Amino acid sequence: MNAPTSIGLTVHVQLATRSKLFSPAPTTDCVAANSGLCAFDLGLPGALPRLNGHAVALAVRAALALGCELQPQSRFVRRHDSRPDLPKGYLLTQHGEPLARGGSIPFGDGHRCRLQRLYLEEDRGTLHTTPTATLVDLNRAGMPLLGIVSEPDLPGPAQASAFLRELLINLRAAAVSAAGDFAGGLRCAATISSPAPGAAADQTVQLLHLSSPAMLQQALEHEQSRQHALRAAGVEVAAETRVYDSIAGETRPRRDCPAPADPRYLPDPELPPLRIDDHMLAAAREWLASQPPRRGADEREG
Amino acid sequence: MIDPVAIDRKSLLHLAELVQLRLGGERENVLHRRLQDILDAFASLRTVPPIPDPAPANTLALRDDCPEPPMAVAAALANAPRQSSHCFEVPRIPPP
Amino acid sequence: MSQADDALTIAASVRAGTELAAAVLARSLQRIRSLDRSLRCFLDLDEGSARARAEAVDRDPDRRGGPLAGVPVAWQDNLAVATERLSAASRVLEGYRSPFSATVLTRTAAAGGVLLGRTNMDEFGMGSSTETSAHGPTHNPFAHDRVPGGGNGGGAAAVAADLCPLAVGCDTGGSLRQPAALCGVTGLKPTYGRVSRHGLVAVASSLDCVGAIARRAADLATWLDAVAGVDPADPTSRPSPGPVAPTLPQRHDLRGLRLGLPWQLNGPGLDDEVAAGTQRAIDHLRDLGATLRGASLPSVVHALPACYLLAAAEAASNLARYDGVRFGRRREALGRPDAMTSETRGQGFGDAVQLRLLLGAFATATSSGDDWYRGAENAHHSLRADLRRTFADCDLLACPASPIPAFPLGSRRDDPLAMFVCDALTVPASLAGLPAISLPCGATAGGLPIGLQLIAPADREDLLLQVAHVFQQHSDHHLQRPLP
Repeated sequence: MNAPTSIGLTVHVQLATRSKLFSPAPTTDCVAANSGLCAFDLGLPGALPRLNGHAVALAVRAALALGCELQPQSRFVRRHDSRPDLPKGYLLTQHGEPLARGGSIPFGDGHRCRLQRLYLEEDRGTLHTTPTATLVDLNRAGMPLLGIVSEPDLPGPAQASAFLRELLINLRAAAVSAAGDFAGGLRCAATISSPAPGAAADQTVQLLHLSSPAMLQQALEHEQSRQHALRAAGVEVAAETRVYDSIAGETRPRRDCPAPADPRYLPDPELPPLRIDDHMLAAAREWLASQPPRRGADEREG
Repeated sequence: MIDPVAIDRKSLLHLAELVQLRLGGERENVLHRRLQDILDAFASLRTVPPIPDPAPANTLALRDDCPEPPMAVAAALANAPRQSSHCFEVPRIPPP
Repeated sequence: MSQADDALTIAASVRAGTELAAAVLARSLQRIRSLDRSLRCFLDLDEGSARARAEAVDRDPDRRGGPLAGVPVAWQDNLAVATERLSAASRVLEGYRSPFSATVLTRTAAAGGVLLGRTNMDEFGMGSSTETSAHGPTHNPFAHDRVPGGGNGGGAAAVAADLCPLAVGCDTGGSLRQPAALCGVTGLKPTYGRVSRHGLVAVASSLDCVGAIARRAADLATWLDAVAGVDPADPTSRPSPGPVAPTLPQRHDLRGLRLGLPWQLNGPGLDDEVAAGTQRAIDHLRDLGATLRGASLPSVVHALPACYLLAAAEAASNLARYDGVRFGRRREALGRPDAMTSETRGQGFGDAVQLRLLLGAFATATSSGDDWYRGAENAHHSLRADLRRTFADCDLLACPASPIPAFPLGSRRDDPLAMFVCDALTVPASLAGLPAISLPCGATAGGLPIGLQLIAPADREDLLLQVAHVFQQHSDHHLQRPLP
C-alpha cells in the first residue's frame, strides 16, 4: 500500500520590466547571443548591482495579489555555485529573508495550497552544447524573476497542475509578468515525496525544468508510476534531482550541472537591506483595487 | 576552554572544492599548515558573545527601470579567453 | 621635483597659467624614468597615454581651472580605467582591459587630475608588504632592502619618492594607512561609502574604502571634496556632509580638541621607536592645545581575527568570478568546465589569495564555519559599540598607524600571522567603517618613517583633516624625503 503523496512547487516567472534586475541592460530586443549585456551581467571586476525599483514594485503587487505577508525587511543573498552560466560565481536571490511569506491559493474543488515564500531572484545565462564544446550566452543572466514556493500541500499530479494553473491566473490578473501566456518565462520545479511507511531516509525527488501545467502533470505522473514500480519491487526511492524527458515520456537523473556541494549563502555585502516604503505599498494596493473583480473569485466567495 | 578545530586533508580538499582551487604538491602542504595556524590563532572568535546592534540605517536605493544601451557583442567578448559563434566557449557539458 | 611640488601647489600654478599640465607631467615621467627601475612602483607605464591625458587638460578650460588642475595621479592596480589594463596584481587577470572607468578616477580627472599610471600592490590587496604581487615587490624609497607596506605599497612609495604627488587606492584593513606610515607620507581612508566603489575590484565589499595618499592632509582634503558623494552606480555610496577643504583654514590650533588614547592600541606589542615617536607626536598635539584622555576599547582584541575572517568570507565570494570563462588568463584542463576553472584559479592565484579563499570557504561552509562567522560578527558589533562609547567623550582617537617600521623584504613573507600583525592598529577603523588618517611623525634612528594614526567618528573627515592640517603646519615630518 502506498503512503499519501505530497507535492510542493517552486515557480519562477519573469517580471515585466524593461531593464534587468540589477543592471540597466534591456530585457527585450536583444536576440543575438551576448548582445544584451552590461558590465554587471558579465561579472566584470568593479561592476556593482543596482536594484530595479519597478521589479520590486511588481513583486510587491504579486505578493498582495496572492495574499502573502510582506516582510518589513528583506535581503539579497549570494548562492554560490561554479557553472559557466553564472557569471559572478553566485546567484543573487532572497533566501532567509524573502520579500513576503505565507498566503494561500484556493483551487479546483475546495482545495487550498499554502504558500511558503515569495522572492526576487536573477536568472542565469544559457548553455548551448555542441558536439565539441559548450557555448555560453549570458543574455538571460540578470533577467528579473519572481520566485514562489508552495508548501508541500498538493496530494497528486492533477492537483499540482490545477494549483499551478490557478497561480498563473492570479499572476496574470496582477499583470506582473512579461508575457501574458508566460511563453518561455515560466519555470517550475516540483518536489514529490511519498515515503513508504516506516522509511527512515528522505525520499524526496526533485523534478526540474517543467514549463507548463500540462508538462508538470505528465512529469509527476511518470515519476509517480516510476516510484510505484520501484516500491513494488522492494527498492527504496532515492532522494535525487531528476529531469523530465517529454519525448521519451520518462524522468531521469540530470546530467548537466550537479547541485552545488554547498551553496554557502552569504548576505550580499553590496546590497543593504530592502525596505518597502509606504508609497510603493500604497501604489500596489491602489493598482489592485482599480482592477475589475475576477469572475472566478466571485463565484468562490459566493 | 574552546575545542581546537583540526583541518584534516579531506576537509581541506572540500574547502578547496568550494572555492574551485586545484591544490597539490608542496603548496597544498604549505596552505594546509598556514590555514591550521590561522584557525588556531583565531579560535577565540568563537567565544565572542552577541550584543544588540542597532539595525543599519542604510536602506537599498532603487533604480528607475530605464534600459541603457548594452555593450556591443565584440566588447562583451573582448576579454574572452575562448569564443565561438559570439559566445564564450568552455569545455563540453552534456545537455540536461 | 622640488619640495614645492605637492598637489595643491601644482594645481595653483596650472590654474594660474604659469605652468602647463604637460610640463608637470614631463617632470613626473623624468623622475619615474630615473628612479622607478629600482623602486618598481608603476606597472608598465604608458607614457604616451599619460601625455595625451595631460594635453587634454591643457586644452580644456574647465579641467585646467579645476581644484586638481594638472596634478599627476597614480592609481592602484585595482581601480579600473577604460581601455587600460587592470590586474589587481594577479596573474588571474593577466591581459584584462576594463571597458569602463572607476567613478573615483573619472571624478579625479574631471577636477583636472592627470591619470598617470597604475601602481603595484599586494595581489588583490592581500598582504601588508606588496610582496604578494604577481609583478614582484616594490621597494621602500627610504631603504631599498625594505618593504613599502601594503596593499598599496606602489602608490605610497611613488608619493614618497616624488614620482607623483597623489596616489588613489583602496584601504580594506589598512592598505593605504600602513604603507603611508612605512613610506613617510599621508594616507586617508574615508568613511565607508563616502567615495564610490564603482570600478574598484571588490575584495571585501563591506570594508573596502577608496582613499588616497599624498604629501599633505590639505592635498587629500581637496581631492576628497572632488570625488566624494553619492554615485548611482554604487548602492552603498552615501551623501557627503559637505566640502572639507574650505574648513581647513578655520582652525589654527587644537584648543578644545579631546584626543582619546585607547591604551590597547598605544602600548602592547609596539616597536620601541614607534612608541616613542608616536608619543612625541601626541605630546606635540597636546602642546598645540589638545586635551589628552585615556580610553579603552576592550573588544579590540578580537578586531584583527574578526576583520580577517569577514574579509576572507567576502573575498571568497567576490573572487568566484575569476573562472577563466569571460576574461583573464585561462589554464586548460581535461574534463568539464569546473576542472578548467580549478586549474585556472589554482595556477592564477598566489599563496596569499589561496589561503584567504580557503579561510573564506571555511567561514561560510555549512559544515564548519557557523560559530566562527557569528563570532566575527559579534566582535564587529562589540567594537562598534566600544567606539560609540569612546566617541561620546573624545573627538578623535590617536595611535600609531603601524606597530613596526618598514621591515626587510622577505622577512615576513612566509608567515601570514606575522604579516597580519602589521594591520593590528588599522583594522579597528576599517571594521567600524570610520575615517582615519596616517601622518608622518618622525623617524627611527635608522631613518625609517613612523606614522601617527588619527581616527574620527563617521563622516567627520572635516575634523580629521583639520587636525592633521594643523599638525602639518606646525611640523615638517611630512616634508622629509628619502636620501637620493
